[in-house]
Amino acid sequence: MAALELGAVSVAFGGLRAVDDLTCSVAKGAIKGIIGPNGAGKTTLFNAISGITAPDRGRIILDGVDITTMRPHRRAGLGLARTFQNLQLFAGMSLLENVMIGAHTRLHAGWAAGLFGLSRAEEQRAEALARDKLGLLGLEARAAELAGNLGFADAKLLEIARALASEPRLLLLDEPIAGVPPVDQNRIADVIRTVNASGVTIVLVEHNMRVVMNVCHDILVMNHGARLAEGEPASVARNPEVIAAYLGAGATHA
Amino acid sequence: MAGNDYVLSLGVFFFINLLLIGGLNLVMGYGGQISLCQGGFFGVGAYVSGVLALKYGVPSALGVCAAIAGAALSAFVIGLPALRLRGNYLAMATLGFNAILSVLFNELVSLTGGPNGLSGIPPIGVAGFAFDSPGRFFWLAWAAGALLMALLAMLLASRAGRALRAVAGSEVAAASMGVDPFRSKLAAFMFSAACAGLAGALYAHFNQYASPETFNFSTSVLLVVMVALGGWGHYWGPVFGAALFTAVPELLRRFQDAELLVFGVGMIVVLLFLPSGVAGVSERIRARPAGRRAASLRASGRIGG
Repeated sequence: MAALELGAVSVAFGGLRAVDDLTCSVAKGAIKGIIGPNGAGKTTLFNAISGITAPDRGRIILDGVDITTMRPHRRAGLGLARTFQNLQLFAGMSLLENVMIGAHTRLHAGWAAGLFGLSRAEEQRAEALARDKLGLLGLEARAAELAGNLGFADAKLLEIARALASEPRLLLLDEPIAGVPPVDQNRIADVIRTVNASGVTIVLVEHNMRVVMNVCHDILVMNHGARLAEGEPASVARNPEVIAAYLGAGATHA
Repeated sequence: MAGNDYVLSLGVFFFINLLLIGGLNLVMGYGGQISLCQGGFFGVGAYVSGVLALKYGVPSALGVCAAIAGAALSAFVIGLPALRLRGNYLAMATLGFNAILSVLFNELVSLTGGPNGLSGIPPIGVAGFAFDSPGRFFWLAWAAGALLMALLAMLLASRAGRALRAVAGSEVAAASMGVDPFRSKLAAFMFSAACAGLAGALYAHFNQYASPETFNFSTSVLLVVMVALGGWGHYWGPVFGAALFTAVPELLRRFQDAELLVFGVGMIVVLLFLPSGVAGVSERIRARPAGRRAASLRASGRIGG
């Protein structure tokens, strides 16, 4: 069984078909790259998978469960986690609290337990888990700072730490590397490999070809919402249509 | 009324206002939703416990519980449709709901006494002890206020409180992390209404009288203003808000309705210059000697944030 199956998924905004009849599957344990020019529908596809945008047609199957009409928080409960390209951090909360929100589905205390302070032990476990994930991304020393005070690169790292805190089965990373300095690029690539080695299936939308080619097991190339090509990194990079539509002459050096 | 009793009854009203504003601050300051019906829920609490005690002879402890449940249930009914949608539909729905409640308080004359009000509500009595003087009632109101502040401190440091703040920060991100935004907002709204229900019950039994104009739309608006003046989303904000709401009308008693002018000017000052209200100013003053780093640490503290 695939970790994720998309069956003829379409998402339209008015007349624009952002995702157009896309069928695709992500094997369990894989790192799948999705590349394509800006406006190819990559983020819209992520929004459809995580439930923020409802698809107009098609089926989305997560680990054999049809999640097409499921609300976003239910999908998270099934082991789906994501980061946001446009950064959706909780600016007024500390880094630690941001990551602890990521662990929300791992915790159980409700309102009554919260009001009467009956969840101390669980809170301590959540905090330890969150500190562990912050450490993985090199942010542990800044745990008490407000997320709103972070620079762009650190905010991207925090997005990843927060998504990891749910210990997901399927992790969607939306441009985790774009705009990050090289030293952090390598750290993120290492984290992606480590997390994948622990059994997490990953879908990676990214423009940085060096990282995509090095990290991904296979790649889907999108253009105008549809599949242009799909396969191993080397074969995709050689595909003349892909080179013409997206990679261009410069990318052959990557 | 003796001078001491006057001060004690002001103290009682301070704690009643703290319940109203503290509950509202959870919805507005932490949950990011505007509720314009806190005055209405205050009235639900007052009339439920008042009518039960006066017309049906229900023991006051039971009546207070019914007042809390009644207000929370009203919030459930109004929140169920309004909070499913993203955005500030709650403000519009609660605005209408407060108007409906005002009509009911005025028109259900056989129950509420209509515009003349409900008079002769007995004081709260528990196991033969009657809270029938300002001195006795003060401790009851104090305990209710202290209990609310303790519950809020624990809630805000817990999974549920964190989820509520996350929903206010980014509903999309919170939902993607597994938080159900609807349930989170609904629970906060119901809790805040329950606080108003308790406040209403205490008010009715202390005042031994309740009339519709106390619970109308303008009370709801003033309570929103008090949340903002005290410090939107600050743990201690409602304490300042309740102090202002209690003291300013008393100080300006000689000048009819002058407090509205003071509150209006205060609101403008807060909106323009002090977005974090009195609580924000006092935090900044305390933080000054230790420098900016300490200020940011304090700001990130679970309760102060």
